[in-house]
Amino acid sequence: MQILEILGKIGFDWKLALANLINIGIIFLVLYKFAFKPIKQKIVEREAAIKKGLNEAHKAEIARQEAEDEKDEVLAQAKRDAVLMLEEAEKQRKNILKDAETKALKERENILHKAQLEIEGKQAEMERVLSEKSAELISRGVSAMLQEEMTPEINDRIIKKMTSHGK
Amino acid sequence: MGFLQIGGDIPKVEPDIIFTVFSFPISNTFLGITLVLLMVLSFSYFVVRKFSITPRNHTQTVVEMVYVGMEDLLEQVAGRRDVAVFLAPVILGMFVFIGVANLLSLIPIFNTVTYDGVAIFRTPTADFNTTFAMALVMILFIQMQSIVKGGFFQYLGKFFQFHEVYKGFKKSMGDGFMAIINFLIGLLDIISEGARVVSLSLRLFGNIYAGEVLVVILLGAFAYALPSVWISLSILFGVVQAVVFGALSAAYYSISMPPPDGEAAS
Repeated sequence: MQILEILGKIGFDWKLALANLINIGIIFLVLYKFAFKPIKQKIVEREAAIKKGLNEAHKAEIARQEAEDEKDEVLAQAKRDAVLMLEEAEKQRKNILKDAETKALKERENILHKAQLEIEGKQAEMERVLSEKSAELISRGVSAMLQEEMTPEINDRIIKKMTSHGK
Repeated sequence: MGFLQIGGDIPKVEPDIIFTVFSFPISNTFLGITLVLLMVLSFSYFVVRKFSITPRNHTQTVVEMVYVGMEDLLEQVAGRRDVAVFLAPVILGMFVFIGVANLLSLIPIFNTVTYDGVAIFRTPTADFNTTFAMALVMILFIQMQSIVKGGFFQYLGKFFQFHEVYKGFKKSMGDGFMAIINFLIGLLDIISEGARVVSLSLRLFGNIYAGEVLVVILLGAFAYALPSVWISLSILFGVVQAVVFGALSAAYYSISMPPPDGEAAS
């Protein structure tokens, strides 16, 4: 009671205090419901969005690193393949050269052989013509020496004789 | 009273009753609180409602800075983040109310609107009924939270330490006497909880009421420059008192709470 008397001296009235309390309570509710809750919600949502963004950035960094590794691996594989292809091409080049050489040699031999045969044929022909001309010259010489009229029958006989000798 | 002085009545300690509703008196501080409520509602409707995840204006940035700043301050006072996050809306609500109420009196027309020769509005925190109600609710809230977090018997055990006396005497005579001293200190804590209500409410009421009295005295002494110095300081004091009330409430809360499970076990 004494406390209430003391408080009364500084204006305390429980009815006024209760009325003020109810009003302050309403202010608190309004502040909580329509101000602090939405503000906190926005802050939390933003923090979540930032966290999500950072996670995604981290994932993207990991994916980039993986892609980098994959690129390096592909490049290394491509280099290995290129070396193998170069080796294979070198081998093929050597084989082609060898084949071409072999073929050229064979062709040369064929050409030489053909040329040999042709020369031999021509030589035989020349020899035959030479023999005939020689025999004709000889028959003319012989007829001149013998002073005898050369008849075609005699001439042929002599030529045949000569040519048969030549052979 | 000369040209340089403006005479005025020293404000009464008790608020003026404007009218009554069902025998309940409606005082000018009640109307002052209603004005704060309207301001809060307007701010929530016209400003906070338009806030987005990405701040589009400086208002949102400032409001969020204040909110997060209060959480950080409470974390420093209470020493725990979860307590700070839980307490922030309560303490910030108190901070906003006290801050706005304190600064209202600095608006020149606030105290000059009268009805039947009585000022309709009065600074809510210059009324002991308001500060007492706030402090009482805050301390009751803290006691309720203490019971909810630690249990009813642990809460009673803080004030009536019978078990500690028994354990002390079981251990040794010296510890027993020390436990009796702690038991008496525990009983004193009951008074201390009550004293917190009085100290919180009187501190705020005294500061704001004294400020209003001083303004009247200064206007009566030299009306045209001197009061402006005090009014400028009142802006600072109004905010500081709001912070003090909030920080003390947070400190009382953290003292009253049982330690976390990990700390209690250790």
